[in-house]
Amino acid sequence: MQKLRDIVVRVEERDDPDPVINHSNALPIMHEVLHALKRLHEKGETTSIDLRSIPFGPGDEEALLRQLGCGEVSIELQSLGKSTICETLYPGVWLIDHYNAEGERIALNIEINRVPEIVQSQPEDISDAIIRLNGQLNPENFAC
Amino acid sequence: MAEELKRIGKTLGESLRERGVSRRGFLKFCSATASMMALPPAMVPAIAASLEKAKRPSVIWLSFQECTGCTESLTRSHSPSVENLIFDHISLDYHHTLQVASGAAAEAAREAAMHENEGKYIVVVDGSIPLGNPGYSAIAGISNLQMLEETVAGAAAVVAVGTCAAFGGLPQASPNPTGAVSVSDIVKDKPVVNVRLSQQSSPVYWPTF
Repeated sequence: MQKLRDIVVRVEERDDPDPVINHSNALPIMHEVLHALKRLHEKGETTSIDLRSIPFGPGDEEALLRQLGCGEVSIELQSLGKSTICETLYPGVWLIDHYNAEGERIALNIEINRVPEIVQSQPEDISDAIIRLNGQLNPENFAC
Repeated sequence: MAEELKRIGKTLGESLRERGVSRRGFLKFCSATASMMALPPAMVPAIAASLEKAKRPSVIWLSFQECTGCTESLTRSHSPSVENLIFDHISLDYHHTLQVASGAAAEAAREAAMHENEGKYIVVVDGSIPLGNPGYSAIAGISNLQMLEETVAGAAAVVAVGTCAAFGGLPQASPNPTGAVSVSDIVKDKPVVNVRLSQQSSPVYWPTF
C-alpha cells in the first residue's frame, strides 16, 4: 500500500512572484479598479471597494497592495483610532486603512475618488467650527 | 434624572458631537460597521444618515436557558465598550447580570421600561426557551415563556443573540430534555433579528440596535 511519503510532491517556482496576474483574486480587483477609475474620469462617479469582504487567497491581498503601491499623497487621520490614507501609484485610487483605538484593523477600503470622502471637511464639523471660533472671538456671543 | 431624560431625547449624532466625536470619526465608524456586517460600502451614507437620527432605544435584555457567554462577550467588548454602549447608545433598562437591582425592584424596572416605551423598546434575548415544563427555567416566579410573551407584547422588535436564542442551540440538542425552542419559534408577530453566533461582541450588537 502506498504511504504518504511515497507520494511525490513537486514544488513549482514561479518565474516572478510579483505580477498580480499570478494571484487569483488580485487580478479581478485590479480590473474593477480600472473600470471604476474610468467612471470617475468620465462621469465623476465615485466607487468604494471593501477589501475585507473579498475572499482573498494566501498572498492575494499582499500582491494587490504591492501592485497598487503608494503614490504622492499620504494622510494620517486621528479619530477614534488611527487611519492611514494614501493615494496609490494610480492617481484617483486611494487606499484607506482604518484602525480602532487598540490598533486593530477595522476596515480596509479602496476608494476611487478625487479626494476620499473622509478626508474632506464635513459640513457638521464646519458648523461646529464656526460656533467654536465665534465663541473664541466673541466670548459674549458664545455665552448666549 | 431630568438630565438623563434630556440625554435620552437627543439623537445619536447630537450626542456624539457633544462628546467631541467628529463627523470623520462617525463616518469611520459607519465604514467599519458596514464592513463588519458585510454590507457594501455604498451603504455607508445610508447607515450614517440612519444612525445620525437614531435615539437611544430602551433595551430589555432577557436571559433564559444560556451560559452567559453572550453577556460575557458583551462586557469584554472594546469598541464601543460596554460602558459606551449602555450609557451612550442604548438605555439598558433590564439585564439580570448587569443591573444592580434584584428581586421585586428589578422586575419593577422591566415593567416601567415596558410602560414608558410602549411600542418602541427593543427586547434582546439570549438563551432558548423551555416549553417542556415551566419550572425548568423561571425568573421571579415567572416562566421564561410567560416573561418573553408579556415583554415582547409591547416591543418594537426582538433581537435573538447567540445560537441558543436564534436556533435553540445546545439546550435544544437531542434529546432536548427541556423542550427548548428558539425565540422565532414563539414570536411570530414582531420582527425578530437573529444574531446567530454566540459570544458576539458589542460592535455587532450596536448597529443591530
